[in-house]
Amino acid sequence: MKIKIKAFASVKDLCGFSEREFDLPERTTAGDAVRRVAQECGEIIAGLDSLLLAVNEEYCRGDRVLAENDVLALFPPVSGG
Amino acid sequence: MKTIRLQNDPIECAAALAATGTVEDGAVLSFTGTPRRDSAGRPVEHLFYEAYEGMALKEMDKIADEALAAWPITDCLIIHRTGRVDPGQASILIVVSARHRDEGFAALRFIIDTVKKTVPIWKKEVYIDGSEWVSDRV
Repeated sequence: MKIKIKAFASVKDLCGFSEREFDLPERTTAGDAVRRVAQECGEIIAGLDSLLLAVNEEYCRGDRVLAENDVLALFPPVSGG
Repeated sequence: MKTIRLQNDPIECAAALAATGTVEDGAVLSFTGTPRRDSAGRPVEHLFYEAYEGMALKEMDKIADEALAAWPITDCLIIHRTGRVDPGQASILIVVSARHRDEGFAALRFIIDTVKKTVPIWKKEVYIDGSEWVSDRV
């Protein structure tokens, strides 16, 4: 299934993309998707304890099961204000 | 009334303040965040803000709704800059109006504290000789 992955701020720099489509097996979780990105873009991503995840613009945990056309966002702790 | 916005252009703070509040209100309170000139002794040229725009607007909207439900405030405005923000400019403006100041102060405090915790916006400090995402240090 096709999943769009977005990366922001320092995580974007580590991944080397701001938005990319991935073809992942059915029932893939957000955590699995992070490990897939890590395989391709550098292991450091998978080791980031502080990595935050969102699916379709809502915060989620690593065990969230993804569905076709979901948009998964990966980013560091926020620092706005 | 609720106003939620992300913008690249400088925030017109005086105009936003003047437009917030009703004749029923006795207090219009604002918080303005501005870049510091130095960070741990290192001179900061300017800040650069990146936002996950769709989600940031949703999260800001949720915060405003929570504040409007939790305190008797009438207006709530949250504007955050994106892109380059120079020292002396506002990176964020929050304005609330209320009949009385106590609830306004409480709501204002809640809004800025929650924005800093949940809204997907990141600042990068840009120095003369490099730059650094602030969240890298967390």
